[in-house]
Amino acid sequence: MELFVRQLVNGLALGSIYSLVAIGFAMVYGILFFINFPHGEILMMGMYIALILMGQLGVPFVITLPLAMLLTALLGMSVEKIAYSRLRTVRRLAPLLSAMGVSLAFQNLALVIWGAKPLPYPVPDALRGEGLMVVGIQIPRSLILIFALTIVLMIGLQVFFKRHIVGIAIRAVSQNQTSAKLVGVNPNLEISATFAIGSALAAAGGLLLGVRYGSVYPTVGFSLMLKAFAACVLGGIGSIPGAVVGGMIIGITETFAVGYISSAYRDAIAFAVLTLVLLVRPSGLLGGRTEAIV
Amino acid sequence: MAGQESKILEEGSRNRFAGMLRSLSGVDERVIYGVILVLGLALPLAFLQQTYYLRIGTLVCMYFVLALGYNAVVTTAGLFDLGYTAYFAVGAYASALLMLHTNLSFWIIFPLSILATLVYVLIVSVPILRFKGDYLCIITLAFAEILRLVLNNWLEVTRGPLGLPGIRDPQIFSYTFNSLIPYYYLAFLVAIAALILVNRLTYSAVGLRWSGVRENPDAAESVGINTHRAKVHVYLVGAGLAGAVGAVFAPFQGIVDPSAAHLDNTVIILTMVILGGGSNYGLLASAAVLTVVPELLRGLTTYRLLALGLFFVFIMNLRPGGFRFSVLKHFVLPEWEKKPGEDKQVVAPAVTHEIVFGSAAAGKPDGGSADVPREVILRGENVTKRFGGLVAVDDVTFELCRGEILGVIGPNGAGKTTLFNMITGTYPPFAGDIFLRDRKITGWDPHKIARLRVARTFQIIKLLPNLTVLDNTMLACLQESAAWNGHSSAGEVTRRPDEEAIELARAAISYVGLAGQEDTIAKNLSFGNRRLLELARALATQPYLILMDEPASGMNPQEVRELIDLIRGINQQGLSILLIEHNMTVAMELSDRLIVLDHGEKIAEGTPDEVQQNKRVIDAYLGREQEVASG
Repeated sequence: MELFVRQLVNGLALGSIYSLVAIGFAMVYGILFFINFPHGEILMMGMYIALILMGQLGVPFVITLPLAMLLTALLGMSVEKIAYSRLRTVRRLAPLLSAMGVSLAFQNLALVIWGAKPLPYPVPDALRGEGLMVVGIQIPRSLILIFALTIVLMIGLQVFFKRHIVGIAIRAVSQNQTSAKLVGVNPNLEISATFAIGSALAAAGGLLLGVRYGSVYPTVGFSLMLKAFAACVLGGIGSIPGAVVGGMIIGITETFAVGYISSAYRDAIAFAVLTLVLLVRPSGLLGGRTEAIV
Repeated sequence: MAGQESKILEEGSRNRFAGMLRSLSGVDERVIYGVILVLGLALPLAFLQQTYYLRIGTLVCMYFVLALGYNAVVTTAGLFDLGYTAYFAVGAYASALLMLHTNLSFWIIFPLSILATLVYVLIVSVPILRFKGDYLCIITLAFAEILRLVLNNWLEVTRGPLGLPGIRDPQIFSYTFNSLIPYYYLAFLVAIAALILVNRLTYSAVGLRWSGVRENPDAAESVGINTHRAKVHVYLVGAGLAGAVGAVFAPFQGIVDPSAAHLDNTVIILTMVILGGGSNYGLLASAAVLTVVPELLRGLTTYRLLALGLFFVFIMNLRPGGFRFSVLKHFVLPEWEKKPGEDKQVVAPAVTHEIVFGSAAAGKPDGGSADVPREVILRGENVTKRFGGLVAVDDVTFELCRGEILGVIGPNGAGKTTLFNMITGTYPPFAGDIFLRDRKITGWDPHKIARLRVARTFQIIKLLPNLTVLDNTMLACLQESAAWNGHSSAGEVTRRPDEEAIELARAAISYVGLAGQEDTIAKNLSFGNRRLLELARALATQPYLILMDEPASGMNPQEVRELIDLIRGINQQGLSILLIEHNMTVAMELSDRLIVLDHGEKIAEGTPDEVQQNKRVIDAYLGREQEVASG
């Protein structure tokens, strides 16, 4: 029983990270109907940025987190401007290929700069060791950080979408770009904001992943992107709550499968779940845009 | 035979069917293939001592085959599979395992490995083909990644990351493949065979179906093409080729390891396909360049992929048109790139308007005379459709008799198109049944209904935009031969469309008044002509019943006039017509009988005059007078 609860807590933590990554993925899909292939690579660059800040420049964690999120947001925005903005009106494969190119370029750029070997992630002392006792289970401080930060970011996102003018405009553009333009919304701004927020959340997810699991390497983003995709489709593509639910399900399933079965196929589990769910319910768990998928 | 064949090709179309014998600045393509063949065969003689070059030559052949297979899947059928290298890996591992653990001859193992790949594809295609577009791309990528994980972790069988070394060389009788020369010839043979296979398929009915899947699956379904099956076919061909290359690669390399399933391989083959621009020379040249250049710049692998990535971004921004980009374009100008009208000779259609499209149907019985028994050919019983809480079509019953034009009218949102979509199989009814003659077709797939000689047109025009008028129409003639009666033989699958089919397509085109435009790319047609092309496509399936979804919408009054005459003409050939129409002039003038829908319910039925007098119809269109009066 104790093992079960411990696994559940670990699964929720992993699921929180996947959810943060999946939100950005879902947001871009929601507004551009397009799969942001290099989302994982942007996350990976965010992890390296944080590594430089913390490890080499000695910036404290409290400042590293927002700074890395900011820099990654800028990176995400630039990717959109350079690689996608001219391809917005082009349907089908051109933006996807361009996105794949970005992904490939980032991965190999990281390989050139930092090498293929996983680099150890500096964990601040404040986050080491055990934290709270909850129902007889010791929860490590890093997990508490993951839960706290995820909750704060998700509440922030909710408020942003409901209250902030840009958040409302993003929702408008994602529902109908033409109509949004007619009432004076500049979609360029909203699309940039979407990429910025999505990338910043990915950076936060990456940083938490680094703090929890301790290393970064050039291909770390690739499997995360695949899982974020699985989470989005699982929850219903384009839906942000769906992405969160999907991320949680995948995180928990993965932790239990690793804990009780084997760790060899941990990266395949997300897709086993996805395939099973889609064979039963093609539109994902929370509905979403079926016609685009099937 | 060859003479007749080239005549068919000439007449068939100036674009796709002529592809095999396309001329290159006046040189017959057969000469070019001959030169490549001789050069390829002679290559080992030039490099007897430099085995390094032979190795590169062998790799070029293998990459060429991979590019051919991938090109069929991605460019021809438009299925963006990012896990293509997985099929190569399956073939390679099957070959390696069999070579290591059995004493079978390589010549038995080779087909067995291909078979293993095909079985693998058939299994993964079940979940994969549920997706399309971007989703297909990621899901295939994920399946390749899972395969790599399995190869990495299934230590007892694959030895994990170490791979399977020490694969023995193949033998022919007592001769062992102990140098690179036999390997080169083997790869060369595979390349030639692959080229012939892909060419045969691409420029045949099968290839046109694949293009239909890429361009517009709904349109393809509407003329009786089973698009799911076409997708499985193209996957089998593409993956089979990759498996064949894998099977040869394993003994050639002597070792296989999980990197065979790595995304990087797919990326390299994809680059070849993009650079190749869809032509065989292009694929060959880009396979050669992309194999030779990295060999010359060894040690720069990382930079190579970095450069490839930037190259993708750059190219797509420069030429977002997609895969048509080709550096070789200036040397080989494919016919379809020529401007429409260029060097075109309008040949008078061999068949005149007299052709009877509804050949199966008898002449139109006199609709007026009561003594002719009315034969019901389409019947709906209590058809109902719900979308969530909304009842779009509520308990509608209708009949359509042979030779009749049945109009369906109603205000916006009355459920006309929903009813239409249930008849054509786009979605099944919630309740009720639909019968074609006496056959219950409730819930059938669109292509199955189409194969019962029921054609349709779409309210929002669905054509194959990048193919010519003739190819668009030809698509509808494909079912006639092989798949029509459910039996097909291998010979029929790969054959080119015959003269009869081409004649039929041409006749349909000229019937609707598009003669002379056969070689125009569909997307360049005017709006009205696109509608006519849809009609020509429908006619080319030789239907006895045509379902038309608002054929007059978006047309100008002159075009509407012509359309009315055209539809009446079609009807007089003996075809029955179900006409959904918003335009009252068209509906009233053409229909023998009308049914009127409002809020999903059938509120009236009868001749145009009766319907026009009907109180409920007037109320539905103009609002209720008494309500206004009584307040």
